[in-house]
Amino acid sequence: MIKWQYLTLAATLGVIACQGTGEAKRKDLPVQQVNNEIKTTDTIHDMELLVLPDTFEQKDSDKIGSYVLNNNLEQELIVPSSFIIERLIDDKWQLVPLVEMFVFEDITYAISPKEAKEFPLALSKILKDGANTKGRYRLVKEAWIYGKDEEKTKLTAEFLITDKK
Amino acid sequence: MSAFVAMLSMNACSDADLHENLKTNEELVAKSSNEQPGIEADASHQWEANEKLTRLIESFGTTKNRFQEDVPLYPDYYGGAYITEQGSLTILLHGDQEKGKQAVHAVIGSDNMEFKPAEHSYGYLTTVMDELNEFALSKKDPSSLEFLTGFALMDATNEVEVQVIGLNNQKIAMLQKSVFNKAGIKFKESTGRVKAEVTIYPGCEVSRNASMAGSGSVGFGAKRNSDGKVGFVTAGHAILVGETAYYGSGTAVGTCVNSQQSGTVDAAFVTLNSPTTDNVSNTLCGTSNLLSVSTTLPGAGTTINKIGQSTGATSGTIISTNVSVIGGTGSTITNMTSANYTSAGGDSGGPVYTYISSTGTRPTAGIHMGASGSTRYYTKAGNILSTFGLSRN
Repeated sequence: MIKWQYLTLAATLGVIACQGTGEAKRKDLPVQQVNNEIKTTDTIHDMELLVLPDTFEQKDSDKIGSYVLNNNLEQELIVPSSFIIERLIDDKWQLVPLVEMFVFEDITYAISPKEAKEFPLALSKILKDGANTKGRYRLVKEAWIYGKDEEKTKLTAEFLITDKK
Repeated sequence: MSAFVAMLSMNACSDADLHENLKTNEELVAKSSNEQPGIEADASHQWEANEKLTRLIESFGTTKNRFQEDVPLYPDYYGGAYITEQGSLTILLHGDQEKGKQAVHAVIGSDNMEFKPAEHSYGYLTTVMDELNEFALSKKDPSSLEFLTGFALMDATNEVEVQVIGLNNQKIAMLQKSVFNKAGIKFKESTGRVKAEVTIYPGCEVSRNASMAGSGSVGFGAKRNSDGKVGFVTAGHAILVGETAYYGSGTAVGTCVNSQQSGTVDAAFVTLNSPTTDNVSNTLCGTSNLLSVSTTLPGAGTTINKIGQSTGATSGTIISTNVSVIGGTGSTITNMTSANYTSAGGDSGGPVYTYISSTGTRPTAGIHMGASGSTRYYTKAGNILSTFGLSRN
């Protein structure tokens, strides 16, 4: 389990976490502004989603990273295994297809208050194009406070696939 | 009547603890010392005192507590009461002793009773209990609940006893930052959690957290061939080796000894911590239907059933019996079966089975893994048993 203090440092590396409440559809999710330093904190719910590393090298055939969900709340946070990945194309976030054989486990994970949980993100294995397309991406994931399943929050974390690291 | 015992969501202070507490009080001779198995204990000599106490409490009238329950409206002078082994009534008085005695005598007379001074009123102590109950039931601080086993209003000692596993100054300081920083609370080392006999049902919720936050489903009962240890199967991504499995309202029932998300299985095997008292049933969760101990390899097109804690019982047909998938860890799992029943987060590990109405049997086909679009995947039961060296139990 990664401690929050470590994540604070990681956040400064330029990763995004933002949110939209309720059952908002993807098109309702806020479009991020392009900045040199990409960092947004969910100030409403104190949850942060990060992708580590935040930059993958295009020529790297084995793009294996992770995503970390930081729970800075006083309550337990619940996350399912499912997520979507989007790419910014013409200033619009568009769904990136995953390989058909990728299966989301039907499980929910709990993250204790003030703690974080790290999950594997095998990009090159799960993106249909092998994660070989340069661009600005984001991971979109739902989370909710334990016992409040009806109040889901959408979290996003951006990452880049570039030709130079 | 004499002790108001609060139960945490999954545990309670034990009878053994209460007995021990009674034994420490000279006036309350350990009632357990005279107990003989198979012989009913006689309380007729305490009947009169009990009747008086009932009349006294009824005279207080009622009010609503914070849970909107009707409770006695304890007067400020009343500090609690208990009945001795000899049958006399002892009433604790808070504040002005003479005024308290007069109030009691006015209701139940003065025969065969004693009075003792009390630091706290019973009404105050019940308010403290209510706050502790609310704290435990709301699960606002799951980390504290990990080491709290129960709390009780102890009439004889006029305090609220909080039982803590591994009691030390650090835990006391941590507790006193919340609702436990109140006069009348006494911390005591717990002798352990009370654990009732647990029956584990396939398809019901199982978690790696005592709070039951974040969970999967129980698959089916199994026995390890090498040593006969019994337990149950669930999904490999639901629990890791060495982790404790919690069931029901958060009772620790077993330890994961096998967990794998590769090869031909996404499965785990959990051995029971108390196999002599706990057991894994073959009755499917929330039903009276029996899951058969025989396993099956149904072909494509076969009607299949799944039961899980999230979506309950659903059914569909098998699409393919030889599918390779990539799980969340990025590793490939082969020889899975795909179907089109419905499922949702939390169903992982739940049993998948066929139902043969003509014979009334439900052979075990496997355990649910996950979804990709509208397609569902399950691990074959036979692959789980052979991978971990188990037999269906």
